[in-house]
Amino acid sequence: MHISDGVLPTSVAVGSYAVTIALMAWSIRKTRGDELPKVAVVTSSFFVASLIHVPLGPTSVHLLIPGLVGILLGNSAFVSIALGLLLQSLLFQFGGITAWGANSLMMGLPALSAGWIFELIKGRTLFRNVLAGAICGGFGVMLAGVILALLLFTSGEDFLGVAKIALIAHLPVIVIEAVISAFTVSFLYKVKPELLKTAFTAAS
Amino acid sequence: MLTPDVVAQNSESAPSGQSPQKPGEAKTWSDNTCQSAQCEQIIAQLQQQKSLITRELAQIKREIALLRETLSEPGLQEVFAGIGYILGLVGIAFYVHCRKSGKDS
Repeated sequence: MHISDGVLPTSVAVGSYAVTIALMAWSIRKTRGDELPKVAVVTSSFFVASLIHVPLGPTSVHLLIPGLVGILLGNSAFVSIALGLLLQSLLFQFGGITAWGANSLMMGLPALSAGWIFELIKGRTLFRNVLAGAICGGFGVMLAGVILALLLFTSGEDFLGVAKIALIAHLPVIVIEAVISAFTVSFLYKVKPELLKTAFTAAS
Repeated sequence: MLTPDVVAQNSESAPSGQSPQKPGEAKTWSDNTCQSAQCEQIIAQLQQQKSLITRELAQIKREIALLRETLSEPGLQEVFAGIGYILGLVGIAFYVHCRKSGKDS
């Protein structure tokens, strides 16, 4: 779901770079020092996750996990995803360098939203946490698809058409990520619940 | 369809209908026809070989495209490089944080 070079108009690319850098600065400020090891591990997982392909007829789509990154990291999710995307663009050639700002927004904003929503609906019981994890995991990919359609709309594509195609093509990814997020949240809740405390509650 | 074989067949069947009037002339005429028939045969064979070679070249080009795609896939090196970068950058940030909190306390 990464945008390549030359697809977006220059104004959109430059604007999204500016917004990304501003959000990165905000996210770095919100990151607490003792969370850095967790940030490193989650960023590495996000970086490698896109190598896992889900076959879809003749082609394949790949896992994205913005939802899970948002659930685990909260406010730090944006810098984690931006860094992961930058390295993916440089090393894997996934997405163009000029589109890094737009790609970061496309993955980072769903991550932040998933984190906030998880914080809102997670409750205290295991079941509610797991359910919230599943919903946020799937919602992250859906929002990423909608933002992709928005960005491509600025380059002249038909918004509804692209949104439909992106969401339908990533339906297996949405399901798989909901399941993965649910299992991860369930495991962490039982083994180390402190890891599920994002920057919101831990800071307050 | 007017293939070289059909043309060769037609040119071959033409002289059989003719009765040789004057031996000399008829002989050269049928000689030329036979030669042109042979030429047609050779041309037909060359074109057949050309189509075979074109097909094989297309196959090789497809294999090269597939190979190029396989080679450009991200390999284990890139994975380790990325993880190294991430751990390094976050490690530096962690170090700076520790020094700051060390100075404070």
